[in-house]
Amino acid sequence: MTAQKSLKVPLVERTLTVTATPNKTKFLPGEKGSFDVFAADFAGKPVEADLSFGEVDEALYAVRPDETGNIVNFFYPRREVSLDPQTSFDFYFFGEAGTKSPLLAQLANGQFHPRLAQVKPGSDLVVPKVRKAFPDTAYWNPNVHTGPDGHARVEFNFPDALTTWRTTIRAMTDDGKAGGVVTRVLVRKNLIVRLAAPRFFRQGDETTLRVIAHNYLETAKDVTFALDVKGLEVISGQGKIVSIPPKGESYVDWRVRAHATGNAVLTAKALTKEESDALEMTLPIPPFGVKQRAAGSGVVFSGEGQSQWPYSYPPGSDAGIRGLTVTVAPSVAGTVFDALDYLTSYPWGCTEQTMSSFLPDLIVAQAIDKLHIKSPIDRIELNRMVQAGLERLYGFQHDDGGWGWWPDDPSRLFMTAYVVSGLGQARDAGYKIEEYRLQRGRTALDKMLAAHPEMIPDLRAYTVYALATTGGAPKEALDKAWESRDKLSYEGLALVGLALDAAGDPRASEAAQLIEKKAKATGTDAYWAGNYDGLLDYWDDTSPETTALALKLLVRQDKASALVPKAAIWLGKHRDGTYWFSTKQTSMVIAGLTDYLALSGELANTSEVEILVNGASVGKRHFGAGEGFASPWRIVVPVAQAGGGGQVTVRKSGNGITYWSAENNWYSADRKSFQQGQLALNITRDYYLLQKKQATPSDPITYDLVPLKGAVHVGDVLAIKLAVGGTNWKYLLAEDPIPAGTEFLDHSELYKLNNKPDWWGDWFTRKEFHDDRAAFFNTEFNGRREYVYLLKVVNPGRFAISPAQAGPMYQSTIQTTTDPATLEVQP
Amino acid sequence: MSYFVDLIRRLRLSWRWALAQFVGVALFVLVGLAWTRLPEKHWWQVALSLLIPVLLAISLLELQAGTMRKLADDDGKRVKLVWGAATLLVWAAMFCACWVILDWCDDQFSRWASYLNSRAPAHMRATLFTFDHIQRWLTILEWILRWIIVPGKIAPYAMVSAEWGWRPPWLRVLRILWSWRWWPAMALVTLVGVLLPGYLFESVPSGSVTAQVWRVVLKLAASYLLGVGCWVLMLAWLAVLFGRQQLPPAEEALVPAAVLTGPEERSASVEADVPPEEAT
Repeated sequence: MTAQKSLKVPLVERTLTVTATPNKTKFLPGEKGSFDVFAADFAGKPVEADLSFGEVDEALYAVRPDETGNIVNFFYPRREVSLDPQTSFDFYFFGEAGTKSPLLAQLANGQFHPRLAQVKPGSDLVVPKVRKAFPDTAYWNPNVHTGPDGHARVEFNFPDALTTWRTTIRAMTDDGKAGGVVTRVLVRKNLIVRLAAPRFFRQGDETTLRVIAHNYLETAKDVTFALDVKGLEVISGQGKIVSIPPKGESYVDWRVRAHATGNAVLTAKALTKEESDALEMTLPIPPFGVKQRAAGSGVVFSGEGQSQWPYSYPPGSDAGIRGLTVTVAPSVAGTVFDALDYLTSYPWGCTEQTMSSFLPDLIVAQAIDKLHIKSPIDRIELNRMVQAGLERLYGFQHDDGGWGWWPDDPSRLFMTAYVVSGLGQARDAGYKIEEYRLQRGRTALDKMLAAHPEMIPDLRAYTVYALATTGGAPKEALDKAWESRDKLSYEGLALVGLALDAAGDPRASEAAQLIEKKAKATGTDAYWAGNYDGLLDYWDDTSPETTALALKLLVRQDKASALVPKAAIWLGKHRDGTYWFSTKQTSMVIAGLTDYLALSGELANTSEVEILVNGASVGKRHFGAGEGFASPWRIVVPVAQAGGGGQVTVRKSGNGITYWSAENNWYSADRKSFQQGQLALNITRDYYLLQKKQATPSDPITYDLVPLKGAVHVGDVLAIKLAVGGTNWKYLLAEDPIPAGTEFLDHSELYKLNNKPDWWGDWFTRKEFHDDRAAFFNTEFNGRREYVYLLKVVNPGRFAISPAQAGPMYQSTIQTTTDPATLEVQP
Repeated sequence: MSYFVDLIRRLRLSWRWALAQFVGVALFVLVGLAWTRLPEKHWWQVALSLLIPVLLAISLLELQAGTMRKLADDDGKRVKLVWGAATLLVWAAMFCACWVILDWCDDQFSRWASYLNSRAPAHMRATLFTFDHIQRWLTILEWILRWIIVPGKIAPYAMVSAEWGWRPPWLRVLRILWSWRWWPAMALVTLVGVLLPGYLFESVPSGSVTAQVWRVVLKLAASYLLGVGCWVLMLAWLAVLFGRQQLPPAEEALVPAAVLTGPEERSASVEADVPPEEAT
């Protein structure tokens, strides 16, 4: 099949004609496809060109049309614009911060194990290839090059989806000719099996799975239906043989229940003697309830000694999904590695969290390289994270050069300074960044400094620090920050000191002396107290962040200070489990500790460490002198051994210092056991049914909003009202898990309501819909916010709905939840 | 004599003070408006801008104290008018304090309603105990407290203290506060004097500009008359109820004794105020 299109633009001589000819018009799932790509100029003469080649599921464009536009029009627009090749392949992703669709995530493993257990020996049914890989993008190559004959060959294996694949090619020659082509091929089978199942199950869910077979063969077929289920309990349903006429379809239902958490693997099959099909889906089963945790950390100093940490689980929590993890590190470096995992796996991705997700890794990797020590950080993964993070941050930059929390909110001073500082550090670490973005950010900071002469002193200090460390801060800004040192918190003072240090200003030494006087030191450790975050303007314990910045300043200005190792020990000792309370604090602490590690080149002394849970040993390990920068030792205590609570003991002998952390977690839907601050912060979730109203077929369809009571039916539309109330908060996140078997409806405005209530509105800084939850962010929260979203009921069953929860992102101890609920769906 | 006849009698006897309420309050409002436009360029203007509110407050207190004393003239005046007016200042301050507390409550309603809503059972939360319902109930409760309960509690004390100073017959006040005749009357005058004027302004303006201006003027006048009229009626009704209370001998004996044991010249003036039938 050949698709060809001449682009009707005035610049005919600048237009390339590109064709993509597949070796077949129709493919089977998993079959290798080969495309002959040909590029010619306006006269038909073959040209050497650079091409991008993309093969994407056509269905995706129905959800989000390709808005990239014509490449020729882009480079040769009617109005004169500067050439900006970076945006020729604009890449958008929204609401993605380390999440993957469940199916795509499974594909990443690359495993392929067809299961044929149901096919009995001697059967004459055709054994199908199990389809299990369903990515949206079959192939993407931005670096295809046509030879002198104008031809290039592109080969790849099609995924298992039965769909139309759209081929999009964009080409450019060295002399500025441009062109592109879009063509399509089909991947199909004559006997197709489909599985009607939710995107996920939640523990306790009960649903009907429907295996559907389509017969596109020439004759009627006796189709054997089968469903292999792993991870779910089958309540009813069994394999059947059903006769399906040509062009016909039929189905068989299975009723299943999700008891355990983890993953459910479903393999649906439709088998005939002529052609068969099989489909495998892996669906997650998250626990029911709200995840709760308790954590402890500490240090066992040189010599023999032990630390103990009591833990417990509330009586109502599900014993099967409790967790207890103990981590031990022989040096401060181990605590840093521990915290990196927390940052990279943090599920949300505002500007700060995006930057915090990769910058600390980058800083640590750079420091380790300088020490010529083998790093436990995966470089390939790190590079991938850095690139993805940078792309996302570039996409978040506003027109004024600044950054806010999200791409479409106002620019914020701290966010801009944080990104500018981070980009500078990434550049210093050897990563190629888009320099003009950094410069635009710096310009935005200059303007903000000038526009807000009375800003919070700590915030000014951080802004000046960001400027000073990325190319220099204006002297008057440094002077002003230094002059206000009496109004600064210890954190602000450390930041001013660091800014002066970066500028080579001798006052940095004075700042270091001032900081040293403010330390609270004991014989073994030292810290700087903080209870207000002037950078984000909220009250909470910021001592770890303050101590880290003070440590960073002392490492630069007074390396010999006795406070330096003591501050590092204090930070290792005062963690919230494996991290420091929030993404921002953790990121700042890692930066501070990394400077310390680079200075000290900390090596572990030998030590023997044993972990005991309720008196019984769960592991013993010897740490050698060379393991200072090794990954921490992590023990996941078996559920049976953890029991309903008890005591963790970290016992140690040897000369080294042992840093330990422990965390137990559980899921609970009993809000009495964990809900806090109800008057200060509370949340409600109410389900409503949209009842369709249409007196006559010619009338417009409208809906009445009725509080939901009882069962609903497949096809019904539900409105969910999430209301958060309380006092004033900052950076509030509300998460609402949805019932499995429902799907988000993006365009609520299409449903015309009779008597629309006052609370029906969208008041949020950002909204994200994920597979199993909706999330709403509010940078400022003043008393009450109501969020509404729509769900369409898709699968029959009985679905558990975990409590919704809300809390300020940077004050992790404050949380409020709703009651759990259940949704009964009838066919 | 029935309560109603007594009410009419008292209003008839006090018609000059009642009229003074209508005229005086309007005058105070006008003077108050003029005060807001007073420049502060010269020292005398500054002095005037400080003096006028004080004079206004004193005049208003005197007016209210005089009206109360005249309406409730059964027991005679135990203290001078100026002292009676001064006691009103304390009750006015208490009244303002209550309103400040209610203002604070008003600011918290959203929080409280949100909290109460979150505590309600799921179905009730979406039907009866919705956030809007709870907020409305709290607003109504606040209105009742602001316009009925707080004035209804303070007015009897204010009236007796305007007449008796700080040694009033407390039991008689308490009896009024427990009287079923007091609170419905209080609610009625509040509805007519406070709520009704609000409704007068709810209609959508229509017609010519001149017609609209006249309509507003008439509505303002009606609102003023309703408000002040209800206030006077409320005081008169309070006086009726107060006059109907039978004093127990012990209380009757105790209360005037405290006043009459004051300085000689004060006793003389008090005696001069006492009606002849009580003086005997």
